[in-house]
Amino acid sequence: MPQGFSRKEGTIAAGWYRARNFVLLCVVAAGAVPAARGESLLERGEYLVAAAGCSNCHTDENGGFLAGGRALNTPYGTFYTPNITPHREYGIGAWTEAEFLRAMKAGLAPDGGNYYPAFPYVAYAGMRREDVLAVKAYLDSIPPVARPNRRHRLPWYLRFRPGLWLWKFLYLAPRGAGAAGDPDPERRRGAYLVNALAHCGECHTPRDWLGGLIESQRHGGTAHGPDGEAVPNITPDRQNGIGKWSDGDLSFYLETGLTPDGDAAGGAMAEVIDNVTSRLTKQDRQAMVRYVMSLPAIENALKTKRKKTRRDPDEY
Amino acid sequence: MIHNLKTSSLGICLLAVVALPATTMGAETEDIIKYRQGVMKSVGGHTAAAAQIVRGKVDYADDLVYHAESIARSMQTVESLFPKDTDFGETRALDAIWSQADKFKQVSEESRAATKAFVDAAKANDKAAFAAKFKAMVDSCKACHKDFREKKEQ
Repeated sequence: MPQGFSRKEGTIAAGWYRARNFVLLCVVAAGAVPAARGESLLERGEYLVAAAGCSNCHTDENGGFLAGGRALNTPYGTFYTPNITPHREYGIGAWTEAEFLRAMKAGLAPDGGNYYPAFPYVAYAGMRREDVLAVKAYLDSIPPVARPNRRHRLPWYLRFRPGLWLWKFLYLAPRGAGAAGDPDPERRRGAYLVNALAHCGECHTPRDWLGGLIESQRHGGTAHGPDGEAVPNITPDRQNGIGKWSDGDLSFYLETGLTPDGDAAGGAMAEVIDNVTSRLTKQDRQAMVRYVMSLPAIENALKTKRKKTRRDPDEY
Repeated sequence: MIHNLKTSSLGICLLAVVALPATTMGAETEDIIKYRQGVMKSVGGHTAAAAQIVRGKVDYADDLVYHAESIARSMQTVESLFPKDTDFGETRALDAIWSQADKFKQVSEESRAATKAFVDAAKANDKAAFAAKFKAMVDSCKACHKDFREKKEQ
């Protein structure tokens, strides 16, 4: 049973929110944003929030749904995710659509400050505008949680946020759009899901010394993933990647977490499966598989890194 | 030079700290870990085989109950594979198994229940039911691996 996504909602203010949702639905009905295939804007937003993995980072075990506070331990310091419930003071309830779009696609706070790229706006920059707005509509509909944000714990030289302008100049380029020219619609959809929404590459790609993704090694795995864990190569390389898996194997893995050799996923990927990939439609999972299996096989990204840097702690 | 001295003396201290329990630990802990890994691999083997049947890839439906029962048999006593202080050495078992013993007990119970439900569905030979129960069982494996197993080093 999927964990970590449960909406620990109080019944307080539920009535008010139902009323608010109704108003939102009326806005949709009025044609502000056309809802595809009969699904409502809120349903689409909820689906996109799952696909984009928002709750993986923005929900802490000890806090409310999407109320933030989860510690992300990275080589650059510890980031505490913010509250993205519609609470007007502690969350993002007071944001306009323009502010939300700017945050998601340009990594800018309403006050103009830069967000650290622990927030994967480099990926979300590839999201379609109407999808970002559907996410906002859904986030506006969930129960607000009065939980103040916690300051990040970073070394002094990273506390200077304007320095991120340079970082963005180097690394912020929308990826989802990169697949726009793909003639295969399924692969195009898969690229959008993998790159713009689920942001698989944020963990599965090695980073350079400035923390930017090394594009030539995208999805090739890294020995220095979140929480210091190794993250596997997910390109179809037969030796070091998932080249021996069939499309069906990968699809089944994304649905259930079971690898072809009978191992059940653990760690961060278990959460991704619970909160993201198992919640997608079968077609979307298959689109992701089709795209991932079409990636260029990267040989050895993890191994070469390991040789230099890793020492087996058990060798005493 | 000084740096080298510092690191090497630090190394010696570390070695002393690490080697001491390693020698007094005896073979038993290592043997338990090896046994545990053998059991887990056999569970994985049966699960991999069952998955092929459940996914309709192969036609060995007669063997499904055998695989299911083998998994269930191992899960009956899964906690006994983790006696205290067996998180030392070549293992991915996390300290949380002992520091959050109640939670570990709970996920073990859930896994046992899910496995049993899969056995029942396999025996009833109800295709739709055993696929669902199989997924629920894998979910329970994942729930435990998520919090109590170190992520795989590749």
